[in-house]
Amino acid sequence: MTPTDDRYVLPPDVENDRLRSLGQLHLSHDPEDRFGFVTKMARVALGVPMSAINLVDRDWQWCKEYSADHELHFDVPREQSVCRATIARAYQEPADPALIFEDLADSEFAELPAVAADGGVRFYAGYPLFGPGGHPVGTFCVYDTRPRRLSTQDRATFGELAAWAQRELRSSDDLQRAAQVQQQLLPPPLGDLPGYTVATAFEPAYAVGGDFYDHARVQDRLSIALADVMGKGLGSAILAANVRSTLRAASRAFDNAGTSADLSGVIATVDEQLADDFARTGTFVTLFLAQLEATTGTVRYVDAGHGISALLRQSGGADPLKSDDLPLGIISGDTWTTHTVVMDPGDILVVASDGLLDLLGEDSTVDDVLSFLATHRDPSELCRNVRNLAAQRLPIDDITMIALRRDR
Amino acid sequence: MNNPCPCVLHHIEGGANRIVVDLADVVTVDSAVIGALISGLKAARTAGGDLRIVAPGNYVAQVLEVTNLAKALPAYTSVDSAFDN
Repeated sequence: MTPTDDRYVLPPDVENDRLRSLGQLHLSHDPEDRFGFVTKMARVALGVPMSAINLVDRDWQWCKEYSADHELHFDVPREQSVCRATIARAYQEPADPALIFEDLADSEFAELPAVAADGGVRFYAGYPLFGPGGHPVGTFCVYDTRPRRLSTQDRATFGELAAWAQRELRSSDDLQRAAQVQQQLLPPPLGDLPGYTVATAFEPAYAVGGDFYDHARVQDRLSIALADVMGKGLGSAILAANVRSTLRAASRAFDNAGTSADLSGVIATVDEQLADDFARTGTFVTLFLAQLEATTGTVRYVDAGHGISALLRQSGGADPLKSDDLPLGIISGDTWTTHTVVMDPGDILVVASDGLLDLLGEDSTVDDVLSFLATHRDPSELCRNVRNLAAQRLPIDDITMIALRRDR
Repeated sequence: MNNPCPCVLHHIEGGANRIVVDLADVVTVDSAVIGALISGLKAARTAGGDLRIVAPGNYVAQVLEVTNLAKALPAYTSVDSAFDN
């Protein structure tokens, strides 16, 4: 069977998103107890000789964990796996994604090596497991070397076990705790800033990520920071916390020295302090730092490779806040430029993370993002629309956004 | 991917300093891949050479453009042309 006539091959854009979703989970191929409990329980509860949790990558199916009375080698090329059909079914029959073959010898899979072999698999029941964005990234399976039928009760049990496997995939204890800490590190909502309306959206894809935002107010001056540590998961979350505290300390030091307007100096200081960390971990950080003088509407900003920021004009249209500067952690001793724009009454300053690109659809560009932003006149409505989109499309990447309007 | 591009580092330690990374067949990309490419780029430049990429997909191309990294890491259309200049 060639890939082109295989009805289980997914459209390239769907497969691309699915693989990114799998990557976001940062799972190793090593067995883990938390999955082992599920596969062991499945054997007992359903009286089957084998149970496994498999991850379906582009070309291979990896067995993450299995339980059986003898050693098994479940890693197979994807085209030789039954689970690829379970993956495809998750898209085609989302309301009833379990795929069950009472006897594989009577199915299109009869010729697969794992089925045709002496003592090969005859009974298969697979349930897709989902990653960020709701993409099926693997399967929870039970097998038997004899044909078998699942009773209604068995099917319910199988579904409950699959839900357990899904919970384990979604929330390892470490990641859950890290996600809580990350939420706690976000600043509390800003109090009233007379003459301005502020709204924020923070929609983490369920894996812990490297996005954060921060804001601080000193008299009529408001500082805003939005950053994205490249890379995902626990490592980037730890670095994000580090960047956040270094940025706070540097901002305070410049404040105390009476040079708080020197944002490029703040950025260079942060970059210098974290240079070793960036080099060792092979990461870098995009950062947008802005400071608003509320009485005049003057906004000073540095855009260190962050990219998605604009001034939505009362008069219509979105002016991107341009910058040629690179992220932090790319070139040692790099410098940054402080730019200035003025917000007129009715203008909205928007800064968003690149997760917004994803949210607007495959192949969307920065121009598409600007067009989307430009249709909005109200910060709360904009953030609400982004949250609604995220609820519909389930982001693969974190989405962070700050929108600030000068009301008068 | 916290120890990025071990294969690139391996080549650089072996004396090569002009590295081309062909992304044409790469489907699985998240931002960690960009981090890996940047580490490889830094290592290659430290060794007096350069790292260039070929045929990045839409996601990588967009991220490189948004982050201004396209200037540091321009994309070429084929492996053969990556070191023409």
